[in-house]
Amino acid sequence: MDLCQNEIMKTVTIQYPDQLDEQLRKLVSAGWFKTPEEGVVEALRRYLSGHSVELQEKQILEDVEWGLHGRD
Amino acid sequence: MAATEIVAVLDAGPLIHLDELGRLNLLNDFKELLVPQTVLDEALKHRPGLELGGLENLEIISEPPPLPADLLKLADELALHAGERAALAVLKARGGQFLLSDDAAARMVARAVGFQTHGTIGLILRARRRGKVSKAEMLQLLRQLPTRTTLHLRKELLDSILATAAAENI
Repeated sequence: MDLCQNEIMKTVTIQYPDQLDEQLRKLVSAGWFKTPEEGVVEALRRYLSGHSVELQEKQILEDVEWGLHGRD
Repeated sequence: MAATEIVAVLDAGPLIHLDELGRLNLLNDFKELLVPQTVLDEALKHRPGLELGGLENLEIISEPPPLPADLLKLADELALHAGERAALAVLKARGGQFLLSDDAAARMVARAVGFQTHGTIGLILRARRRGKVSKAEMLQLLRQLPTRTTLHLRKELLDSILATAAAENI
């Protein structure tokens, strides 16, 4: 997978544990990503796709309805 | 009111947040409460003094089964953590009904395969509905979320929830 070629890209410097780095480099060695950076971007994309503010707040409002009016 | 017939599986969020509020006992209102060891380990990282002795219906699952293929695909796509994966695996294997989680992605996966999911706020409101806390206690717990817990919530949303809960005849 190529990093988003036509998008404006940001540069962020991060520190992360050796253990995560080891796992990431295994994926690169196995051909899942061309570079560790690609793996980090993919992990971030996957995390953000499941954690939007809209989704979280929708779930909380559904929870309020259940909490107040549920039958169980 | 007797504990319901519901078998619930806990993810780390409600365990951490209810402990932060000093109200883990709200989790006693289920027939069975299953906690994978991986989830417990994660909760203990955040709450080293976590004490589960008051949970009468608790069962710690030391070796969760593998995640079935349908769940594994979704879990991979949404990059779920080990604890969330273990909770979903236990839910499926033990025929549970509820995943108790504050993680949006884990809840999305659980719902996609037919489970109900609820989080800390729902559990607090349910406790009032089922007569386990007074209305004043319920409102107090909700008000304490931003100051006593690590559950992140937009102020306007919490204000709206407080207004809704206060207006309810419960």
